[in-house]
Amino acid sequence: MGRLSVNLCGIELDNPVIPASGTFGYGYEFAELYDINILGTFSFKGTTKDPRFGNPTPRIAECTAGMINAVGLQNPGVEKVIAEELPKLKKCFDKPVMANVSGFSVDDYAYTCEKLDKEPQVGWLEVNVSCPNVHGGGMSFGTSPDAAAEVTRAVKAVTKKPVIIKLSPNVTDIVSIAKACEAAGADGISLINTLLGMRIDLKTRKPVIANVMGGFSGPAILPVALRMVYQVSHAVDIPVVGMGGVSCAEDVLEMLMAGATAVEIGAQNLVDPMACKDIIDALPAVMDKYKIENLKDLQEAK
Amino acid sequence: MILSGDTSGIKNPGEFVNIKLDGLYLRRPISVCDVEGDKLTLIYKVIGKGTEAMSEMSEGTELMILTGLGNGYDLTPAGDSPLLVGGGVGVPPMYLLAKRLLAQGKRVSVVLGFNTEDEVFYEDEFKALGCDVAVTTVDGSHGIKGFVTDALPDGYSYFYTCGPMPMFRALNKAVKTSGQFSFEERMGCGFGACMGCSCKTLTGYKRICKDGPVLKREEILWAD
Repeated sequence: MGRLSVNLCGIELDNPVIPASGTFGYGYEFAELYDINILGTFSFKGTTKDPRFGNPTPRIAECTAGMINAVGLQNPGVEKVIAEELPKLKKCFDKPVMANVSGFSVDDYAYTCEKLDKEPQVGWLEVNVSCPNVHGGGMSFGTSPDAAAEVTRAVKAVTKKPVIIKLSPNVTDIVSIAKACEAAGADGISLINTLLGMRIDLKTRKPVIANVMGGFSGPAILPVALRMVYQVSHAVDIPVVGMGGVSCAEDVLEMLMAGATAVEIGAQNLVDPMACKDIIDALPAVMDKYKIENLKDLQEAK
Repeated sequence: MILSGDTSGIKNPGEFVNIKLDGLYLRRPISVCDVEGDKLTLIYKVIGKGTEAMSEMSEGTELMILTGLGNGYDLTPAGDSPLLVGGGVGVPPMYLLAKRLLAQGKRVSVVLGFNTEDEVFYEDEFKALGCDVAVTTVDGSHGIKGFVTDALPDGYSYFYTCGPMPMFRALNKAVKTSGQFSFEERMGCGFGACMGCSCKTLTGYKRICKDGPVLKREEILWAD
């Protein structure tokens, strides 16, 4: 157990660094660049019951210190993820992976989670009730305490592994939603998903994103994420995975000090594919600088 | 823009590089025009903030660049006399492709399309390589008046193209052989992670940045 190790819902992580869903595919492509076993774990591409192409392009827009995406949960569907993606991942990753799941009905979530729960490679289920880029699903479950709790209960009823509910920041009261998930049996909370945003092209006078709006992420959102992680982690007794705008080792420490148990890194992987490796490499020196002996000490100090 | 550095990641013509620029979040993907030893040539048109920043850089500036991105063109089906069609900013990748095909002893015909004389570039460079070159301008101010489809030669064995979608549509109707098209899309990462640049093809969903940018004529789903 090293000084970077943390414990997430009963599973020990070598370090708290977790590439976030949608920025790391199913892992094996990054394994061409570095040994991804150095990661705490990673959260794989949001997976749904049925295959999805997602939204029309353009799906990406540049922003000041960030980006907007409106991919819309493109994925091959849970059956193919189990049959094709997980075996490919097995060749390059021997740690438990976080399975990110989205859906369009409570039954969808339960169906997909039940399947993935049975996969030995899966360590945690991260249930995304917060995708801003699909209609009639995703975020609509995460904007109401009752709906979020209903998804949580349905998933918990058919799974054995830790269930982490991924929340949207696009709500009036994040704490009430987190508490509802905790009461419904969630083993952890992860936040924040992207902030709903848009850009307009001055030349065409039309939105840059074909789907008009999309999820805003990148360093610009770190303060919002920190604030919400702080609020939620101080209101619930289950572990919180913090994410949103984290791009360096200092940001990881800030997230942990806000109350997070582990930290997901999203957009930064897209502009720098080596980002998570560099952050893990940099952590010990930055911890020395701020006189942090072990990362676990930060949690006890919460 | 001419850069020097580690170009060992660049394998095929038609690949691109992704450039990190100060003050901009996402990298900017630019196609490889030429690579020779540690020298990398990129030709770009100033369109937005990224290319504007690139145009204002002074000699000696260091850049962080991801290289070897995209599949690039497959040279194996070229035949004896391949045809290369470049439209506007789609011209640069044709240069390295022409060089590689000529090195294989092929007879290479090139058609370059532009809107007007002011935009014409690399005509002499392609001629210096030893290609048969035809240039078209929409307004007739240089070369043949019209579009690339007005200047296609006879008797080519295969074709390769890069350029805007309207040109692709016209070309697809005019060409008589199989060939390869190189597509452009707004990208997030440029290396296959974010699914930002996906498109539908007859052989499934493809990421322009990773499974493309080059697609074979037989797999393209024309959305018109």
